[in-house]
Amino acid sequence: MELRQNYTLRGNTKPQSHIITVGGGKGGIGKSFISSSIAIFLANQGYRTVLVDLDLGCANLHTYLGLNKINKGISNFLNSNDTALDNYIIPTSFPQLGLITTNDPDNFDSSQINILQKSKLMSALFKLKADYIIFDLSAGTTETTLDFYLMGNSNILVTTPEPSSIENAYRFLKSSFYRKLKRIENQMGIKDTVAHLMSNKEALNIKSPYDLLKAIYMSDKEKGEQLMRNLSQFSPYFILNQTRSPRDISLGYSIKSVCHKYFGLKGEFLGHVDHDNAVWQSLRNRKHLLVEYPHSQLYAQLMNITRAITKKNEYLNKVA
Amino acid sequence: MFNEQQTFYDILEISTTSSADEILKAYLKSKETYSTDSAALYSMFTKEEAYELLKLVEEAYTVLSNPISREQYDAKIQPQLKQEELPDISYNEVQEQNWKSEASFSDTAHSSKNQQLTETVPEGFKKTKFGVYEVKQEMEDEIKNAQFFDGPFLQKIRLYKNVTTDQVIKNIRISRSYLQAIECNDYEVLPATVFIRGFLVQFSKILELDEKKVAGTYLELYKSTLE
Repeated sequence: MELRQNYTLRGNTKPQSHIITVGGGKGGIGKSFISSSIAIFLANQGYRTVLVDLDLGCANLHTYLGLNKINKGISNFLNSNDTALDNYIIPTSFPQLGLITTNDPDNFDSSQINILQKSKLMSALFKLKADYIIFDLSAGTTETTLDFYLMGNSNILVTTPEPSSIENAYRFLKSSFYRKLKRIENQMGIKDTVAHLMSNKEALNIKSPYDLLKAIYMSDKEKGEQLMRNLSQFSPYFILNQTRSPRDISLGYSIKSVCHKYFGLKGEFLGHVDHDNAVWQSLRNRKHLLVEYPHSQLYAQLMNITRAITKKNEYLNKVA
Repeated sequence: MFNEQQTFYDILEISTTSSADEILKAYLKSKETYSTDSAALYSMFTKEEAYELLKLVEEAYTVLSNPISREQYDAKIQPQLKQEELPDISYNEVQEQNWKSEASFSDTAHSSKNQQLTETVPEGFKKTKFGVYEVKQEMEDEIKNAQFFDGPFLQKIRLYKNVTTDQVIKNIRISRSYLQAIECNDYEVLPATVFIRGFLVQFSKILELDEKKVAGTYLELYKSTLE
């Protein structure tokens, strides 16, 4: 009964905190490193921050934060009668930063959570009170991952300059875009219009989502504008990780431009993070890079990225 | 939200009030993005689509980079443009405008404001580049009969003709300390003779004096103190 209540509630409740979701499609591109870094900076700036490891199958954020044994986590929560996640936050060495992660991965296959469990987790995350909540997502484009990604107020997309990583980032963005579009279609009742337009794809010269949105707008200006307003909540922030040359950095702007032309989404390029062996060196020492090498170039780059996020958030709050 | 036709500004992803500098930067970025070997295009746009986009980018830049064709284009798409946006001017443009306005000072072609001044000079007044001054016969005689021009005398003439130090500094690009040194006969501060001569010639032009006489007599005095 309780679960059902939450399920109906979720659609109506607004998140109690600003949620930053970090995704990227491909594995090993530094999602966990970047999300933990952003979380540490936010916590150091005095924001109450909760970092959530949503890579349910293979959680390892605690390793980035230098924590060893985790005795409570999402799996306990899902098996319990609790509706709030507050008791499952693990304190870290940073005073304002808490961590929620999956424990006990041997006895609980959390990558296979069912829809009720997912819903319970989502509504609890929505209800969690903090200044910033950061989701570290798993690789891949499963529905669960995409749903968590779309929960964010700020959606960060991490990629590296390698073509395979860029391809996966686009794949990830396309999947989440269509998932978002589908949800809005249902809410607005324009499913038939879209289906009709898509069946005449060739004749109407629809090649990209941008063309589709344009076609919807042309056929019904009011609905089109409403759709654009709803979609504009989804503006991806790009972070280019492991850059090795100045040419790589300009790639960040290029990706933003391509997404703008392809999806009609006004994204933002937040910045780049250089490739540096210090990252794995610090990880081997079981200390976070920001603690181990506070005078490194990476520290400054990650700080600038965090600042850009908080500035954007403050600006959006002012506008709203 | 969607214009009937994408404007060139949309293609370069800039605002309609962008400065020439911003247009160039946006063009270079777009050109890199949609050139065939760009990694950012992979799996999004085909080569043909990218080529079409690149052609649009080139076309947009050709039109927007030229101020005249940009103005014509703006007029054409006028209804689509938002008028309330204030133009933001880049640093380079401000510099350019400053130089232009200074150049027009040194030419005989003055701005309309100055022309109005010259047209309405009342009797008993005379004009300079910067404004008007009341003619005093005794001063005019003194200038006419002067055998040599030293610093304090030049300063006297400058004040008589209502020319401020700021106007001189801006117009002939002399540093404040040098101008003060010239006017105080403070020879130790002054730069090499060629520079002083240049300043004096320019200064006499502003004050409408005989430049050869001013520079000649001033430098004579200057040299005599050196010996």
